[in-house]
Order: sequence, then structure tokens, then C-alpha cells
Amino acid sequence: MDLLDIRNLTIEMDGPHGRVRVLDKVSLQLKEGEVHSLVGESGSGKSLLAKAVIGVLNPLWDVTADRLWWNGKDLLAMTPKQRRAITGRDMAMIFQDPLAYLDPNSTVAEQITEAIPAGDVTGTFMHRRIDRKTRVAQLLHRVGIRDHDAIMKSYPYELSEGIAQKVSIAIAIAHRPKLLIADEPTTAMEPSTKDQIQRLLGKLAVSQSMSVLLITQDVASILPATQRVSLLYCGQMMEHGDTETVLNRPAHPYTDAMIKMSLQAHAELEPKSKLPSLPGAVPTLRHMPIGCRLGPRCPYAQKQCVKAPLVRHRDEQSYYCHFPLNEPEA
Amino acid sequence: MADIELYYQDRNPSPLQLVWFAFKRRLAPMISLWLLGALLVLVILAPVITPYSANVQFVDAVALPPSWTHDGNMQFLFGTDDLGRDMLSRLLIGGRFSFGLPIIMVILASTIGIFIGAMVGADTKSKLRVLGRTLDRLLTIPSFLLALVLIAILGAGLGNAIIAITLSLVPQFIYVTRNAVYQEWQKDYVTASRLNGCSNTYLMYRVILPNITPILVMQLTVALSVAIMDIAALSFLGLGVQSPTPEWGSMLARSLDEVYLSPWSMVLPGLSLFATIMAINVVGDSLRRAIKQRMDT
Amino acid sequence: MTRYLMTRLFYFFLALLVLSVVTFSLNWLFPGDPLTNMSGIRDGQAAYNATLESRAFDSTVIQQYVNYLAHITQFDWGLSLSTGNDVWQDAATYLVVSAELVLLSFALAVLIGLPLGMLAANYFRHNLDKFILTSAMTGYSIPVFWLAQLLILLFAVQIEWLPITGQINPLYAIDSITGSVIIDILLSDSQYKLAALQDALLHLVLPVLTLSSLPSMLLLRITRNQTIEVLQKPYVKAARARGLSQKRLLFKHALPNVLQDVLPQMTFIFGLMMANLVIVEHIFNWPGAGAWLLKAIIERDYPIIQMVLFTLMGLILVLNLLVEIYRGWRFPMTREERYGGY
Repeated sequence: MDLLDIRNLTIEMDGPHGRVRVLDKVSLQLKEGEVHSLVGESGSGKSLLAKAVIGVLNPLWDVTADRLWWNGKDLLAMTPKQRRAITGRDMAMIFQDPLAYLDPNSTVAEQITEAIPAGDVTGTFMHRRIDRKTRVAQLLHRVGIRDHDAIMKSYPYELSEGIAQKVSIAIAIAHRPKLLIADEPTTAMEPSTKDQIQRLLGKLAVSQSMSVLLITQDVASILPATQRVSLLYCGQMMEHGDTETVLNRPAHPYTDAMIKMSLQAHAELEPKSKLPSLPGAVPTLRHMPIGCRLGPRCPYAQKQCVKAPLVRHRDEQSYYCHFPLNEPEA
Repeated sequence: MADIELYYQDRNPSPLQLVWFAFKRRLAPMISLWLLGALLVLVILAPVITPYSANVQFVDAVALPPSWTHDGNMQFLFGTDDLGRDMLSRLLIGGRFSFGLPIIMVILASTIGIFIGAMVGADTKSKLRVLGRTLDRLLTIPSFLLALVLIAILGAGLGNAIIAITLSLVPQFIYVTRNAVYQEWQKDYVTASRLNGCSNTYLMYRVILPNITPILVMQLTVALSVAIMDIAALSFLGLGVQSPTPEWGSMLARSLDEVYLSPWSMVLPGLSLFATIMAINVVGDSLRRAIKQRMDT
Repeated sequence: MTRYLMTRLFYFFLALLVLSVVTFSLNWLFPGDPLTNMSGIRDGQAAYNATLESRAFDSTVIQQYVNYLAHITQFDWGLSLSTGNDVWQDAATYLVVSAELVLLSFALAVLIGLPLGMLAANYFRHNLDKFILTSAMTGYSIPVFWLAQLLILLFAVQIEWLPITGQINPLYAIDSITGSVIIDILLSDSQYKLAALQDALLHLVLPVLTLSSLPSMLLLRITRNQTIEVLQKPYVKAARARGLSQKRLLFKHALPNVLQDVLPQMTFIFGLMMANLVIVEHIFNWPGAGAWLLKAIIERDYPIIQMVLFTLMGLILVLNLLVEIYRGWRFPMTREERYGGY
């Protein structure tokens, strides 16, 4: 059974210019122990997807789905309390700007302690205290922080960004979640820190045997250990499937463009050659195209594209396009 | 040229316009704004529209209840006070002191305060740091106590009260302007304009001022409500407007003894005072909210 | 922390010094003889020449200021111009009387303002929030003297529940020892202690209600706005994503962060109470420092004016200092903040 099973998730919000559909029938399946990368430009709704799963979406927005299942249980049908219990025990999330996501007025130790499940430590009061402390130190070691004593006592504003992200990872894995959602954890970081965090996440996914849903902006920064990848554009799923297959033989024009864009920095471009990126800009929420939202920017678009394409499958990948690329020779 | 739109284009409203749009959407502040406007007109026209002179006494109509009560008389719409003076006329004329004067005082105080504040805020040298921090602490002292000090020096009376309240309002303006200017000065767009070669004067009036206008307008409403409250309080204590001049605060002080006999002489001036301050506060609060909304989006 | 503490203390004493310079120069600004304004001894009295010397009025202004400072640090504020009593000795009881009123009102204001503010924020955009906010706006806009009159009209005249003026019914014959009625009653050997206490408390109700209305409503609004802001912060979202309950979220994560920014406002609120103290004590015939100040202003009793103003403003500064020290200790992040860049 899939750990997370999302079918046709739709999120609608009332903007100043009327009702907007920010997430349009997105489906995603996540197996246990799988590292999954979700790629999309800013505003594509990838963070919303994560927040909808974890349940911290603005309550004024409408979330509807054919299926939003966690381990076979329907998350949308749960009471807030039941949902909190699941969220607190089985899921965890880390964010792009770790410093803003740590409480500025409690120490690192307090915040990690808070995330340790109450049932894990037993005994007398003093015993529990010491036990908690050693656990916090262990967690800090596990995320690669050696000088745990100093870090435990410090407040978030005293930490560097990389350390802060490690601390928030420590908080996230404190209750041994089955799923870790990493929302652009390395986007604004310098390359060396970025590398550290990425490797740490990959390592933890194996050692903790948890699934990771990594959200990134471009194909280049997905984890090396990623097994499957999904691409999201303007709230619509474009393509998903096995990383190897999707990256080598993209079926969707958008995937194709994303791969070419990420390679652009490395490849030597011929003078006066056409840029490989898509023409135009990401549409604003007010002026969303109908049908396939990539339509106006897609070099292969035709009349049919005003109707949203249904999902199609090809070997290890699924895509939403009327005119796929790299079709195998018949 | 008529407004012909050949092409569809998005128009971007200015910051002040954005605040206004957000402000306009809600009902309560708009009602308050209309109320204040009506009050301003009434106060300006007061000498023309009052039925009687504020201080003329009607011996045959002493302590007459308002006209809607059983004993009331249409001749005196809001009744008369214990000396037989028409309440309506007194309220309207009193509005000149209670609402008109504070407006003038706030305009004066803001001109002085914003000017000084802008100068201090633009001064980024650390020489004034110690002075600034010390003054920060002294600014926690409310304006009413400052006004009391000034009254103690100058003595009681209308003119002295005006001077005292005006001066006591100035520090708040300095403080707010200085902080706003200083914070704005740190921002990148100001640096960019400076690199473009703008002079300091141009920077202040054309670059920074438009961006801090909403904050200053909000401070104006705060100061106005404080000024109204202060002048009424001073008059209530007998240190401001002296009787027989009809001021809402001094009218309340007078009614202190007649609360039992003629409650309307207490309720009416108090109600006008309360409604005015409430309207100003509602406007100020919505303004604050609108500004915040703009900052967030 | 030591460095933080030292700078705060430095600025506190500097502010106090500036304040004393102000009160010192008041003596020249007040009409009449500066020496009389300062010491309360009139020209022609026997002690005048001696005072002239002890206050260094034959010397430079700087020397005079130093001597003035020496006098006020020993609580020598001179003699009252109207009664001839030593100002500081009279002041003790007045100040205690006011302190009782102010402390009770401040406690009430905090007890009303903080919880209701957080409650309203918790129900942001619900009807409860709107209701609380509207009543707060109303309470905030009512002029304090009008509110006092309305309360008197309602509770004392219409339904006759509460007494109007004074601290206690004089029939109980409680000797004023400390100034605070409640302590006085507890100290006294009257046989009707309980009845006297009840009477005193009833007398306290109206003044405390009036004095605390504006601060509590102001505090409520500040707390609400601040809480709403904090609840939208990323770290609260992160805590929510960790599956914490709303209660834990509010008290463990929101409250400290709200307090961090609400605490400095406490000083401002306290200052407002000091200003309203004058009005409230005047209306309710409360024998406290505020009414005393008002009487001194009307009688032009300058030593008293100086002393009371300096004490009230000094108290505000003291509270400011305490708040800053607590804030720096509890919320270490604020130690590094430079407000206004100065």
C-alpha cells in the first residue's frame, strides 16, 4: 500500500479578483521508504501541496480531493485532533528559511525536547530530565552537530543558517516520522552548506528508513538518492515517474524544458542559438490559461491543449500531455 | 483628450491609493469619516446655525429637559442647563473649542515635530545616539503630564492650555517621524536613489516622505484624539477653558454637581466627546490595519 | 547580559538626571523667586538667608544645581508654600494612597487586557473577536472623566450599590498610618475590622474600575494585534506542523513572543494611568498624589508640584528600567536590538 495516496487534490481560494484554483487535480503516490522529489517553479503550488498534507493550510481555503489517504486512512475525514495525532507522530516538515521557522524565544534544547514523544522517556522526574538531555544530544549528533553542549544552550538567532537547518532536521526526526517533507530546504543556501544538508537528508532517509518528499525549484538540486520525481506547473501535475526514465526520456515538453534549463549553465551555447528555456512568463493567478496551463508557453501546443489532458502512462512514467516527446519508435 | 483605452493594461495604484482602497472597503471607518466631516462643517458654521447665543440665560426655562422627553420644549432641542442656557447652542459652540482647536493644535505640533524628526532621523552620525536613547525613555511620559507641567509654569487659562497641549504633542511627532525616517533610510531603494545622485533634500521630500506618509497620517489621528482628550481633561480640571466659555470638558465639570437633577447636561457633552474620539480612533485603527495589509501583500 | 544591564542603568540614570535638570529649571520658569520656588521659604522669613547659602544661591548655576541634586537625593524637597510642612513627609501618605489605587488598577488592567486580547486573537475574524474588539474600542474612546460620571450615575445614584467618594466611611474611625486603607484597617484595633474592610473595598470599586478601563482596553488591543501577528509567524506554523495542540501553541510559543513586544508598551500604559490618576482622584475625592498635585497647581505650590511630577515621571522611568531588564533576561534576542537605530 502507498504511504501517501493523493488523487485529484484541488485547492481553491478566494482572491481579491474572484475564486482561484491554485492546485488543480494533482495526484501523487508515495511508497514507504521512498525518496521523492517534487519539482516546480515558484508559485506552482508545491508548498501548498505539502501544507495540505500536513494540515496547516489556511482554513479559509477549500481543499477537496478524491483521495487524501495516509496509510489507507482518509486525512480529510478526520477531526482536527485525530489529524494532529497523525501529523505529530508520523509526519514532519522542514522549511526553506530555518531561522524563521524556529521559535526565537526558546533555546534549541527546549525546542528539540518538545518534539520528543512523551512516551519515550519514563522514570522519575530527574531521570526523565537526564534522559531527555541525552536524547537531544544524540539527535544533534545524528544530524552532524558535534558541539552539542554549546548548540543546545543557544537561541536560534545565534545560529548560522546551515546549523539552524540541521537543528530543524533534528526536531523533525525526533519522533521518528515515517515521512519527512522538506520544503526547499537548500534553496537559499551557499553551495557547501547545500551539499551538506542534501547529503544529510539522503543519509537519514536510509538510516531512519523514512520516506522523504523533497520539494525543489529546479531539476538540478534534487537529491542524488531520489527514486521518483514529479513536476508541477501552475498547480497542475505535468509528469511523474522513475527519476532515471523521466530525466533521460522526458515525455512532457515542460520536463524537457526544465532539464535543458538546468543544463544550460554547464553546456557551451553556440553563438546566436535559441535559448532552451520556455518563452513567456509564468501566468499570474488572475490570468490562468484554461486547459493545460502550459499551453501558451508550450512550443508543441495545438488546439487540443485547451482541454486538460488526461493522464497517460508509458513504462515507468506518467504524464499529462496530448503531444508527448520521445515516443518510442513503433 | 478623453480617457480612451486602446489597450488593456494593469494600472498600479500608488501606496497611498492602496491604503485608501483598503480603507474604503469597510463600513465603520467610512461612517466615522463622514461623521467627522459633518462635525467639522457644523463647528465651522456654528455661529451661524446656533439658535441662541451660547451664554444667554433664559430665566423662565432653567434646567429644561431635552425636547423628546415629556417635560421638554421644542424651543430648546437639547434642553437647557441649570442657568437656563440652550444646550444645543452650547454644544455647537463648545465643539469649536473641543474639536476645532485640537485640529489646529495638531497641525501646529505636527509641522514642528515632523520637521525636527525628519532632521534628526536623517542624521545618521552616532553623536546624537546617547541623547536619542535618553529621550526615548523620557518619551514614555504621557503628554498629559507634560501639559500639566507647562500649565503649572504658565498658569491656567485657554491660551496657556493651547500652548501647553501643542508643545506636549510635539515630542511624539518627533519620535514617530525620526523612527520612520531612520528605518526608511536603511532600505535599499533609498541607497539606490542616493547612488543615482539625489540630493539629501530631494531624498527626504521625494523619496522618503511619500513612503512614510501613511504612518504620519496615522500618528495625526492618534495625536488628534489625544489632543481632544487632553484639552477636555484640562478644562474639566479647571485648568483649561474657563467658564462661562462652553467647552465639552468644562461643561462636564459643571454637570458634576447636577448629575442627579439634570442628567442630560452630563450625558450630552460627554456623548459628543465620546463620539468624536471614537470616530477618530476608528479611523486611525482602520488606517493602521490598511497600512499593515499593504505591507503584508 | 552585564553589558546590557550596565547600558540600561546608564541610560536610566541619564534620563533621571535630565528629569532633575528639568525640575531644577522649573524653579526659574515658575513665576516668582527661584529660591522660594525651590525651598518653599519666602523672602523675609528668618531662614531665608541660611537657605540662600545652603542652596548656593550666591554661587554659579552649576553649583546651585549640584546642591539641588544633593537635596533631592536626601528627599529634601523643601517646604510647602501653602501649609509650611515638609513636602516629603506629607508626600509619603499621599503616595501610598495613590500606590494602592494604581497597583490595584494596573493588576486589573493586566488581568483583563492580556487574557481577553489573546482570546480575541485566538478567535480572529470570528464574532467573538469582533465583539471584544468593538467593546475595547468603545472603552478606549470613553473620556475617563465621563466614564467616572456615568459609573457614579449608574452604580451610586440609580441602584445605590456603591459609595461615591472618599476612601472609607469616616464613621469607622480608622487612623491613617500608612495611607493605604486596606493595610490601615488590618493594622488597626477597631472591633469592626471586617465591616470596615468591606466598606473600604466598596469604596475602591469605582475608582479602580475607572482608572483601569483605558489601560486595560489599550492593553487588550495591543495584545490582540500582537498575538495575531505572532500566530501568523513561520515558527508557529512549524510548531503546528509538528502536531502541537492549539493550547500548547498559544501558551508555549505565542505567549512569550507576544510578551516580548507587549512588555515595553506596559510602560506607556502605566504612564497613561499616571496621567489619569489626577482626574480620577479629583472626581472621587481620593486623598492621593494626583489630587494633591492638582491642588498644588491651582494653589501654585511649587515645591509640591516639582516633587510630585518628579516622582510620577521617575516611577515611569523605573518601571521602564525594570521592564527592560526583565525583557533582556527573558528574551535574550532583544539584547541585540537597536531600536530606532540609536
